[in-house]
Amino acid sequence: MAEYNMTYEDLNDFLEECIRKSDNSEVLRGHRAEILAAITVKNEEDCAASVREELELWENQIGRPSELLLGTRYIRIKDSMITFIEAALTSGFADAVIANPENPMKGMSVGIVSGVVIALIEIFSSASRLEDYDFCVYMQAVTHFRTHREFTLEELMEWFPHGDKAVCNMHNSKWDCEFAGAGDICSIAAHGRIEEAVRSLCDKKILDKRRENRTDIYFFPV
Amino acid sequence: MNEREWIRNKIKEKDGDEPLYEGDYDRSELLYEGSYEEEPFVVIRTEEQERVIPAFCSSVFANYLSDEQGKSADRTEWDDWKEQVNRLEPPDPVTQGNGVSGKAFLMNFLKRLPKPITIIQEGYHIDRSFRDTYYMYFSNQHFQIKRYSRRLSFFLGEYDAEQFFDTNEGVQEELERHFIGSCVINPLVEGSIGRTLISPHFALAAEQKPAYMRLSSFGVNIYGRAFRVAAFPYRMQDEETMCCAEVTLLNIMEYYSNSYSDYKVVVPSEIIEQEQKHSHERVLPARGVTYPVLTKVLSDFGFSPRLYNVAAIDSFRYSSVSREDELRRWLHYYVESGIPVALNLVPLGIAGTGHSIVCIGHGQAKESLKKEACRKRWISWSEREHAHPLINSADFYDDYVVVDDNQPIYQVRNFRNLSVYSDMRIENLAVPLYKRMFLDAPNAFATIRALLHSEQFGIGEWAGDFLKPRENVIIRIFMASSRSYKSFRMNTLSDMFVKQLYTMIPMPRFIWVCELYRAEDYEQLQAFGEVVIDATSAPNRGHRSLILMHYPGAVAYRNPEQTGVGFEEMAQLEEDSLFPGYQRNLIRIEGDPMDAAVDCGI
Repeated sequence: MAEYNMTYEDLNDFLEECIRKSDNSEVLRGHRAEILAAITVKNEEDCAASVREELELWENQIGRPSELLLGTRYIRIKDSMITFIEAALTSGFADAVIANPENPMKGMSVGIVSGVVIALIEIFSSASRLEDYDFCVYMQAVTHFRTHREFTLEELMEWFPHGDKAVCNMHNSKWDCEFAGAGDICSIAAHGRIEEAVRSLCDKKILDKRRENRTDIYFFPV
Repeated sequence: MNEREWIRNKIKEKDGDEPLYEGDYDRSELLYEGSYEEEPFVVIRTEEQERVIPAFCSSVFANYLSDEQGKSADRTEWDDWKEQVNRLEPPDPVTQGNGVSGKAFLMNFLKRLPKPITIIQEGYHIDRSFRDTYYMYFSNQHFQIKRYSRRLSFFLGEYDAEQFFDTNEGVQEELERHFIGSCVINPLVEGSIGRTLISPHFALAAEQKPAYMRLSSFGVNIYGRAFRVAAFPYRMQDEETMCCAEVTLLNIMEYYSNSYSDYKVVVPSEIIEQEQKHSHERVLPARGVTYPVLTKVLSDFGFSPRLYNVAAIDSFRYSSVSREDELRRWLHYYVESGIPVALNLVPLGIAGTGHSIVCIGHGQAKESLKKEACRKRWISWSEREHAHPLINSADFYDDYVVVDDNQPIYQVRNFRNLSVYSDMRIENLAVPLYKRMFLDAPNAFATIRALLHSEQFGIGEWAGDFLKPRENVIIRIFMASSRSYKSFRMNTLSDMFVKQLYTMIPMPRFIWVCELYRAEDYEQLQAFGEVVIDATSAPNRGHRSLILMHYPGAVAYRNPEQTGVGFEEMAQLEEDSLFPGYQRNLIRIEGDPMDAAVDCGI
């Protein structure tokens, strides 16, 4: 785990790179200001005001770029969230949120603020609040969103390192994982931690499930 | 039933007809009578403490100002006192949660001290700050208030007048070593504990040690004999001339005026006078001071203070470092620099009266916090693939030493719970900075962090061979006076050439230092490198604030006339030896108080 300080310019470049990697670049590019605003929004009590301010700033910036602004303002962000945002933007998960921007922050008065920003903030915030291993499991599911909008526990287990392919695909130099062994061997499945995390994600309404042919099917409520 | 009869009955219930202690005395008489009031030398031994301490405290607080119900000050605590007599133990003012009364303070303090102790009483003591408030305020009141304070001085061991006044050098040296401190008792209902100077070696509870704190060496003259004690001033608010903020100011000013010739001695009337200048209504009787006014008063007394408000700190939604974490880091940088910081506490969520205390030190680093700090380590985005992550040692600590008039002297408390009131959180920090400390802690930190990951001066460039790839580096940031810093380095560096180099490098009076440690060396405080930046610099100077960098194998520095960013002076070192972290800003308080009866070396 680590924290980055990213200037708005770094962030702009990062988003551009994610859009380039995405299969649905045009949709994401059309919502650049909203995505950037969802990332740079402050942790204020009056979230709507901060969203409005950031959105306005990014819309202006996209229309009339200012190097001064991009170079001086910055955010501090967890490296895990940067990884998650990249996964969400490149796996089609963000596209799905943008296509159906229901405001999950029920009861919150957002005024003129775009529903896309609020929906993205909710997704990012709920991921940011997760415990390490819930986050790891959620991350795997989001990464496979394009191919598996719905999945079973067996499929999820399959995505995790196991058997001959035990090398962790989440691991990087900043992730301190108690299940990572020598040579990046991952033992999370062997400890039954995946089932526990899926239950926890469902309890938090981050994943949803339905019963079909005596099997639990998990899906994203987006 | 009067109080005397009540005590007598309670003791009979407890002991039966047999007296508990040696000798055939009547404990109720000793508990009730002011038998110690005129006694200049009072000895408290272990076997007698349950009897003597309550009796002595009763004597000390007897005959003081009456409150509106016509009871004496100590009798307003009569219900508590009954409970104390039942248990023959002073109440624990910390767990009581309602602040601490003068008598409870004294009882608690005396109980904690190792025995035997000798208390020397001066019944007609003139305390500068009380006498000042007396003539400014109390002398104008209709009902009479005494002019004189009483001063109690505490010594470890048993001494009588003959020994105390003995001119034998050996006895005098022993007395000096065994001097615990002194406490002024003012003739008031509230704020009866006046100027108190106690060595923390004796006052700090065993479970709160080790602790690291900033102290000053105060001179105390007792019946013509001079003693010194390393302490931070403590006193209670009288709620008429001084509330918590004035007490905070007075304690800070007393510390500074005693330690440095740049600051003058301040009495309460001068604080009130300055407050009045910045207030639109009267300030007496005291009703508290806001922190913007408090910092203004500090400015009037020669400081260049900074005021930090928690709500003004940027809060990032997807970061694990909260506003409170950031504020605590800033507090830690200043505390680690040996600068006492005024803290403004306010109740959470509801409107209520705030509080003001002084933070003078910190507790022990915690293993659990070290793990958490590792999760918050910092990496620059541009260098993320190969940079050495920086772990902030300020995150290893969450216990701080506070001087709070609602609590016993020197309390080590958690950052989230510094007050006895559990719902209070820090809202403001007021930092009394010297007039030429232009670079404050947040800006110094930002400058240093950028330096450490820069291509030109960074750890990767200069310590890349010494460290493993992407190895974590622990950073420790603090301010120091260049004089003390050079002296410390001269005494602790092993290489004669490096020693000379350090002492010859021109430096301003104050510098910001960032020591660099490998994770395994931090426990022993053995640094592998450090950077020193100019505390008289400005945030926009960036890398040009750098004075010195010391990495394994090289020391480089910049002279004052150098305007460019690079180094003109550099020395290659033959050895990569580790060197001790700077430890002169705070004093480590540890061990048994009996062993601590030595000069603290301030």
